[in-house]
Amino acid sequence: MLQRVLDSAGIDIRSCAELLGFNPDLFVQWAANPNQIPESVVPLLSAVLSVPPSLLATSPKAAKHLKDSDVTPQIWYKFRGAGLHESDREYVVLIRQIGHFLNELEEVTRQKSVQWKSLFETIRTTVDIQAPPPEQGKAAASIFRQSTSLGHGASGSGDVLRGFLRALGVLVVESPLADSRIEGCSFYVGSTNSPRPCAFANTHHTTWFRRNAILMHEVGHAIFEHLSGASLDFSDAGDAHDSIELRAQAFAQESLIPKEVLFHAAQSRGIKWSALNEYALACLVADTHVEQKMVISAAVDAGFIEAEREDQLNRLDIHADLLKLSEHALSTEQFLERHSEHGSGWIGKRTTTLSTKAIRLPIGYVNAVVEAYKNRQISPAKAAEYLIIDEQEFTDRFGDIYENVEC
Amino acid sequence: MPNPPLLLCDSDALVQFFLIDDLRPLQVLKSKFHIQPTIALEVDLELRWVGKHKNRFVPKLDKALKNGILARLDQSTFQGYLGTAAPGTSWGTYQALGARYYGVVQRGEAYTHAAAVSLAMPAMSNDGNAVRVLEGQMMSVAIPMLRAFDLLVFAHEFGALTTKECDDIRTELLTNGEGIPGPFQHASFVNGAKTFPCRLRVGNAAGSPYPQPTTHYDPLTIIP
Repeated sequence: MLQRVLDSAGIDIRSCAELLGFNPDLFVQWAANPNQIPESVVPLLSAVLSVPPSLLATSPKAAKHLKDSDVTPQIWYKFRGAGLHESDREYVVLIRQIGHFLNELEEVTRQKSVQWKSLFETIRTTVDIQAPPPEQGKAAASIFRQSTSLGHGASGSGDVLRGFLRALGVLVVESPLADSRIEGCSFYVGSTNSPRPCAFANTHHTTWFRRNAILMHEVGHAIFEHLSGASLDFSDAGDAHDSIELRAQAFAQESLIPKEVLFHAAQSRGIKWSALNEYALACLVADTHVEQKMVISAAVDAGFIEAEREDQLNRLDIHADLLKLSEHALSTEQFLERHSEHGSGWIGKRTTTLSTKAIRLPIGYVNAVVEAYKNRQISPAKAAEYLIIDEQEFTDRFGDIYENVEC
Repeated sequence: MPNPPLLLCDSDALVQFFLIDDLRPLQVLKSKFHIQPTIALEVDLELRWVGKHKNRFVPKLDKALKNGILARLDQSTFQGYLGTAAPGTSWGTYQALGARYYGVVQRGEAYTHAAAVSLAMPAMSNDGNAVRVLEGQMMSVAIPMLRAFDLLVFAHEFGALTTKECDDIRTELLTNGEGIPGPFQHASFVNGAKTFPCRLRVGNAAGSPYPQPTTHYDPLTIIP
């Protein structure tokens, strides 16, 4: 059954084994003899591949009677679609592994975050399902802001967004996928009985301002498209026109830059809407933490500027001004180098080295692992496993609290 | 007290024996003391794909399993040793215990300790930090827990390895970046052994009964 599931997902069995740190020959053996899969491995495989544990135990003989649709987890319907590569699916496998690890870690540290469940459910049951999609998105964002700390104050929320989403229980991953068309995607991770939403943003050739919008757009999908397996957004897709995308876009915009935030940003800078220029627009972007296009769209929606000016304002080149106003206008590497005491080293500390594909782990996740290690809740080898690096590398990166202790 | 029939071995200790390409200490345990070095299925799994070494140790592992120097603790083997285990112990309780340990330590260590605790057998693992974390979480660990160097010192004392061979082993492990106990880090094997609190001793039948270990660091006395 393992082979069938991997085939249905469009993932090579040997690549998957290496990705998860197993001998590829063993995976091949397990595919032929599912009773050889050690019980201790089943939860990981089940969570990563998104199949119930019992399905993995199905014998090849019994599996022959099952249709593809009976064994294909919903997430893979989306990720095996046109324009996606095996490497995209392999990154999904890795991200799902991190989701599984995060669930395990939260069990051990007893810090399980499940607030997203009630919040998402409240939004789904409150929003008028017959309203136009952008109205649904805005209504959802309004509930989202009111129910959380995002609604406190009228300033940009980009700096606190990731920590805030993590506190809700959302897994937020931002990592470069240089060869991928995927700009952002969302899906649920964790075992089938313990899911959590995951929002992913591709950092390759995207700014921090854009990624804030991508992440919230993906959260919007996670709220409304929770039964669809996954939602994918491509960098070359252009403006959203279908209802699902319009709703997610409206959710992102309204949750990040509602009228009061835009109004406050303009007022505090003394900006006149009738005389918007490059500098003024850069100030608005710097203060609201969203990209130029979204600022202008929000200003049109709020009635601050006429819709006819939208194209002209979108063409203004604000980059030089923005660089003077916000460090977030720097590339991720430049930003971390200037912003963090440890500079680019911090990026290195978050990057996996044992997986066949490197992925940049979320800061919050890395911190949670290191904290559990420092609190002696997990061993250094276990912490290294969670960060997909070897133990020596872990102690090199984060120090050895047992350095002078003899075993 | 008879010798324990099994020694549950963890990956990190076995990797050291594979690196030095010398399994004689394990062989001696089996042939002279009737203690079968045994690996949990999870250790077998780990040894077949070891971090940067990847599948390097598979041929040596398969050879050791084939010639019986190592045995796998599968369900039927496990059930064959339930006589010494606490009432209520079963393959299921062992798996559940291993899963619980696996939350805080690596897979191999988790199931090695779980097997040792379930069957009341000693274990061999170099990961003292795992023991500290497990004990810190109020989880039982193997009693006693030997390290690879306990076996080397024992094999040296028993005459299975010469002093030169032991020195070469020490050098080889250091060259490979392997962790070795403090007393051996800057001293020859013989000098290191003088201050190394070895947890494996050879006794004689006339001298028994020997005190039984009650903590993971108490020495185990075995009789040929």
